Amino acid sequence: MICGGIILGMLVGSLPGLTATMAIAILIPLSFNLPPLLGIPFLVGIFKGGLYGGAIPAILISTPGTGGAAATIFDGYPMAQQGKANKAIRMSLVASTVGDTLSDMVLFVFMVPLAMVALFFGSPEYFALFVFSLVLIAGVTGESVLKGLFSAFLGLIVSAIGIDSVSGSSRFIFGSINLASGITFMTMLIGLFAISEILIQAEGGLIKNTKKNKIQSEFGEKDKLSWAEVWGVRRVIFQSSAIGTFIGIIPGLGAPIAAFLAYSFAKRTSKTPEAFGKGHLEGVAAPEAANSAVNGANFLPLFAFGIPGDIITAVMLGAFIVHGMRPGPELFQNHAATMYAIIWGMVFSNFFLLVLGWFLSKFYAKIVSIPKNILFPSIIAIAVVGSYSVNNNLFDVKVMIVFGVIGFLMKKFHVPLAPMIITALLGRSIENSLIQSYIVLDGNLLQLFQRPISAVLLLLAFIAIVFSFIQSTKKSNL
Amino acid sequence: MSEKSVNIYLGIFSIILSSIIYFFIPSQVSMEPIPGTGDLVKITPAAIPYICVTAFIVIGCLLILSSFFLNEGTQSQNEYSFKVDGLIRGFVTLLIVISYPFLLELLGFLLTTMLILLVLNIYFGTRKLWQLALGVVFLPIFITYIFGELMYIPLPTGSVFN
Repeated sequence: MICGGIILGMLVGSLPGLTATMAIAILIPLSFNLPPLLGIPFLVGIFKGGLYGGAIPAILISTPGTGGAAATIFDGYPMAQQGKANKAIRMSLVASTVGDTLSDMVLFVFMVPLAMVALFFGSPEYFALFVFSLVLIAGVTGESVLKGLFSAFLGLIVSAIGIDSVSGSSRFIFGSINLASGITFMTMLIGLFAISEILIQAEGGLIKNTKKNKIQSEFGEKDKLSWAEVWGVRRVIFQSSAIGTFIGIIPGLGAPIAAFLAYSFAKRTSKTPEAFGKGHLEGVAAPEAANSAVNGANFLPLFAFGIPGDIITAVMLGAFIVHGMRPGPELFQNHAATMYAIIWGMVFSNFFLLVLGWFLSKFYAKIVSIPKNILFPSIIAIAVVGSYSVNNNLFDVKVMIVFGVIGFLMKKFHVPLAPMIITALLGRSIENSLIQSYIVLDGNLLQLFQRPISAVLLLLAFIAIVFSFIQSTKKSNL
Repeated sequence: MSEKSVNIYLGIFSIILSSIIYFFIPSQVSMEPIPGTGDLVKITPAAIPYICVTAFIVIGCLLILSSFFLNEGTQSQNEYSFKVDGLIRGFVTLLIVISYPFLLELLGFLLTTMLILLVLNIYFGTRKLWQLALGVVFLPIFITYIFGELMYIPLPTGSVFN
């Protein structure tokens, strides 16, 4: 299943316009019939394959397949133009594998201690943590804090639709039985990602790929990657992996930031900085190691606190819930054996990624040239059946289309999707923690500032929002 | 469209959205205090909706206010293109996609998917026969087999055929 997920993920990641997140969102229904030990590694395989697959079009046609591969273009594309496409793609594969493996090791070592720390968190601390995470995510995703907050509260009001689990009363169901159970997360996700992207592409004209991949004919044995070359960039790979792992732990930052930071740092610390941007192997290794290293570390806040750090882990949170495993401190108490098996599966998947990527790179290079006018109608069909299969209800398909329009408008107005998705998923938990905090604190929420953990988190949230405001104001006035 | 204009439109939309939510709260949300909180500050199921209403108003006002501090020159950095022909293309695609669930109820999954894919492929410019055959015939059969036969998901059969 891991291999299947990796192959599918690489396929999706190598197609510009599709994302690993979209692939996971559409394919989660496929994993319903599988036990968690198979279903979740399958989705993780898609995630890892997708992140690596994004490097292929970045290198071959200067178009990143995923956001994390944007920095790979700087040196990957020049390398391809020099006839070294094979070397660049395989370097990105090796760097991705090493970065991912190191990050998974960090996850393996720290997830239980962090989960133990989470046991000291009561409802007030959880509420403060939710506020901090959401402020951070709203502030750093996208170009404007206000748009991020708008997106977050949009998700919150969506999460309120349905029957309230605490009081049993209905909210905003307008007499519809179908809305009584709320908005299905998967259908919302498929609409926000797949349908909105197709509408964006249709609006843009769905122009066939015009950039001819001249490199394909030279993709062969002339530019093999040697072991000496890999050994020569080991410092860059390890330092970039460390950067990616650190970025992955913090909610809201994500692979693109890690990739660009790692690239900048590698250039600054290189003995030959002038070679960056002209086809330097380190310039490919750095962003790829970093964007893959985000993977494992991203799961730390998810497993320990049940708080996803970005869109992909938000989708994975949904997948865990669907499989009957709610991330949080109780996860390791109730499902310890399964969790360790899943994490080992994540570690082994890196080995499969290396092997499969090594032999399948040439095939995926050809996939890049599938015309979008054939691809996107197919995605619509898969999206429809995927959203239908969640509850065997056509109402979900209609909901998917509505969210497709919402996603389209959000993308056109540059309103980030991540905050909305995360609050839609966590909305009920946020509300429950708010209510429980009220009860625990005798109705006086100001006491949150008298509890050390919640006070620190709320202070950090305030600093984050002020900092984000200053940053976005500076960007707007450039 | 400049970022300044977008902020204004988004701000206005945010305020309108808050008004709509505020309007519907009394009829759609119970005002009975949640059990356990009745003796303290009363929390009702309307708490989160009212928080959202307040947030949308504040965010809307701030967006409109922030637009006055934006230079028109930032347009090159944040370009928002809304071309009429593009919007028409997107709208037509949306209409085709909207018809999908309604046709599913009538004609069932296989026939509807073939029809919708045929229309979409032609609209998006697919002209080669083998590409149409692949996308319009092979793919729906493949999806039906995977989801219907392998995963035992009962796909719609259509009221016309029942």
